[in-house]
This record gives sequence, structure tokens and C-alpha cells, in this order.
Amino acid sequence: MQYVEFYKLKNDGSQEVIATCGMKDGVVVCEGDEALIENLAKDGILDYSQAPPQKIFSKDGPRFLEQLKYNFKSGYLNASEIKEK
Amino acid sequence: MKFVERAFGSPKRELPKEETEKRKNPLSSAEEEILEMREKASSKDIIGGCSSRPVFVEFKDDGAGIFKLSSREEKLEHVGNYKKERAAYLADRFLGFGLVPPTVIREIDGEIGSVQEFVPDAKTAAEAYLTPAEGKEPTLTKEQKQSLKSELFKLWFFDYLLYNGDRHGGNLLVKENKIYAIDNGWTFRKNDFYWPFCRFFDTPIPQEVKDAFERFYSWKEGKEILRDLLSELLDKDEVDCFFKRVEVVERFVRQGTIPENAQSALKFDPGIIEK
Repeated sequence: MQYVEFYKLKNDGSQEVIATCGMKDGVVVCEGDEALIENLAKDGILDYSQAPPQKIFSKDGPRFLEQLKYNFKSGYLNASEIKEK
Repeated sequence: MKFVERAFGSPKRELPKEETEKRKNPLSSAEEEILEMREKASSKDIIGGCSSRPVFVEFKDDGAGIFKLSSREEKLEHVGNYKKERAAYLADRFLGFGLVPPTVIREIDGEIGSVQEFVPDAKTAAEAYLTPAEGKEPTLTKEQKQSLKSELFKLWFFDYLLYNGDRHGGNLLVKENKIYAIDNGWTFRKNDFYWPFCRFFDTPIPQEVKDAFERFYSWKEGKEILRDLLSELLDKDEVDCFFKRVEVVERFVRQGTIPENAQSALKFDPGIIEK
């Protein structure tokens, strides 16, 4: 299964996984930090492969997973590359 | 004439280097000095987040920062983004908004990049309930909402001036009703697109924002110094576009609102903009 992890930066510079988004039966399902999951569902993310960027949501499937790492890259909250398990 | 002379008159004596630097940027702060001068105590690679992969750096005798390395700007459109981090901080500092954490450019372990002061105990907007989801009750008090609305307006106004193409919940921080604008690498754009976190078109500009902007706008020397500082970091076109936007926005500030149709007013090529 393909999935992406969200890493939250702590005050000592370590990171912890606070949420994951993964493909389940063809749709993206996110679990973990409640506010983050709700905001992802409500606000979506930007698809930077389009110019200008477009809003995409979990219904967009693999494209949504692929774009997470471009949206969450500040260091404070980063999304991983797509992983397999 | 050198800009130091233009801003402060011809010096009668040779100034010591530190004094010259101070006059070069009269708003440079103690926090910047810490970020610039303190030795690294430790560093950790931050995992995730496409190719830029910033580093968490702790400094001797306190302080920490997010270090974005020039060498990790792999994509063509990301080249020079670390300089824009500093440029956005400078613009914020001169505008007096207090949105961008202190940011400098320095070398650490032989690598050049931007170092931005780390904001401890902050959440990204993506982890915070700034607006309630459909069917959910708001979790903020009226006072908290008012305070955040004022901060978000300032952020929108700032991103409008800098024509930021990349402001979303992942690159702004919230801490105790204060907003911090981070990840400012896609600012100072010229004529492509602008992407704010929220929009306040046709909303009266808060007095605090008007006052700060008018203070900056009427500070002739300050604008000249900022232009010189930005010119060390950005292309001439990018700097020209910013100052053209300042002129456009000044008209809106006098009117009291930025109208909805003004979005395109900032989208220009400096070569063809109406003089």
C-alpha cells in the first residue's frame, strides 16, 4: 500500500510522525492529528505540477499523495515521499 | 553616490566596519546578529519535504534556526529561494509587520544558505483550527478570532505586496494568536501567479496596517536602503516589481480597501507597466 507520513518538528530538532495518508481501495484515507486531517479534507492542498497551481483533494488519489511533499516542506511539518508497505 | 551616503549624507570620517554595516541596515536586530555570528552547537537533517531538506541548527549559548542550503535547491524554479527568505524578512522588517522570523544568510559547515530563527511550540496553520470545518463549532473565542483576523489581514497584505505564489497552511505558523510567515521562497514574483492563504478584498484595511504601510511609504531613506538591500539578493526586475507594487498599493491604502478586481493590478512585467 502506498502512504505518506507527516513529520512534526519538535523543539529539540527531533521529528515525530503525527499523521499518515494512504491509498485504501483507490481513495486516500488520512489518519492521525485531528486538526491536520480535517484541514486537509476541508482546504485540500496545491498541485504544483500545474501553473498556476490548482487545489486538489483526497479524492484525487495518487496525485494528492504525490503533491503532499511539495506542500509540507518548511521543516516544521514535512510530508515524506510516497512509501510502500 | 553610495547608498549609505545617499541615506545619511556624506560621512566626514571613515566609519568602522560594524558601524557601516549598522548604517547600511538601520533595522538590523540582535536576533539577526545571533543567527549570523553564533557558532553551531549541533545540527540535524530534517526529513521529508521534497528536495529542499532543511537542517535544524542549534547555536552555542542558546538559539536555534532552520537552515535552508543553497546546494539543495535542485529544481530550477527553486534556485535562489534562500535569498528570497532573507529578502522577505527585510521587507517585513522595513514594513514593520513583524510577520517573518529573523532570517539571515550565512555559511555553516562550508554551505551557504538562509537561517531563520526557529519558533518553538508553534503549529502550522494546517494543524490549527483557524476556521471551523463544515458542521463544526468554532473553537476560538471572539477575541482570539478578532486577533487572528487582524494577523491574517496583515499576512494577506504582505503576501500581496510580495506577490507570494505559495502561501498555504503548511507555511505559516500560529502561536498564541500570532502569525509567523515562514517558507517565503516563492515571493517577489513578477508576472505569473499569486497564491494567498486567505483574501480580504473589499474589506476595510485595519488602521494598524495602514499606519505601518504609510510609515514605510513616507520613509524615503528607508525605501532607498531597502531597495539597495534587496538588490543584493534579487534580480533588478524583482526589486522593481516590488516597488511598483508598493506604489499601486499606496493608492488602495488611501482608498481604504483593496478592491476585488485589483488582483491583476499587481501582475505585471516591469517593462510594460504603466509609469
